Amino acid sequence: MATPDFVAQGGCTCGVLRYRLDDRPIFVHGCHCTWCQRQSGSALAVNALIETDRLTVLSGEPEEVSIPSPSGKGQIILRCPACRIAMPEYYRATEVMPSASQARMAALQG
Amino acid sequence: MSSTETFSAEGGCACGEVRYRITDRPLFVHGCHCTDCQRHSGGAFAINAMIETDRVELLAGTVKSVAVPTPSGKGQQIQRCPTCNTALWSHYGGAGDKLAFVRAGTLDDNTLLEPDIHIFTRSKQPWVILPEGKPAVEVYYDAKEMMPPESLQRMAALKG
Repeated sequence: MATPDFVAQGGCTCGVLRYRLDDRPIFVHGCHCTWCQRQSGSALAVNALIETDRLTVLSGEPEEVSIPSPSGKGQIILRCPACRIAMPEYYRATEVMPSASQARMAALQG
Repeated sequence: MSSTETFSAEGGCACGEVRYRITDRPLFVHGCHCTDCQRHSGGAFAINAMIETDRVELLAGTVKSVAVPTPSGKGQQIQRCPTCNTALWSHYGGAGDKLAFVRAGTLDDNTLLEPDIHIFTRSKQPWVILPEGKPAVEVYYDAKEMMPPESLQRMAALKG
């Protein structure tokens, strides 16, 4: 069951895409792998794991972009179609949890 | 001329289509903890290596420029891989497209680019502990006080 008192909205930089987490994340990774460093352009990514059906898109239509991953199975990143930024930029962790998504935590602000 | 002409570091996007090389040492490297950089990176902060745009060579692929708003109202142009959309570098601020802010995490050997200074620490994530002794400022800084002399000379040449 969703935790009724939890609410967190997020979105991209240009404002086209907005989303909401309908429950607390299952677990939050600070991932320092070189893939996350390259994708974020920074030192680490912050990925919140949550069931995809508890991630609601409020406005905009995310665009799926497939990129390679170390396992060879690939990763699907959802991006804002306009600014391409860290919107509900999540990926489906298909090997581990087929129904889970990882939301980039920083996109949760505002 | 730079005294570090032998410096070279390559980088690229996540799908491998875009490859680039920086042909000189960065002028200065920001660990930027502003909320915009947190959103852009999807992480806790951005690492932006400032370098003259003409010292960033495209080795493979092309970049597409995506404009996004900034708090100043002047906007930022993010250069991305057209296929996987990884952000590689940005142009913004007074120097315009003469100056590139390279996302240091896209370098193949990103151990090269520890931030020289941490900025916008007023919005730093509380669990991020900055290294002792490393310059850190609540908002921004005066380049004349903080940048190495050689970098100041290169910046002056850029604006000239």
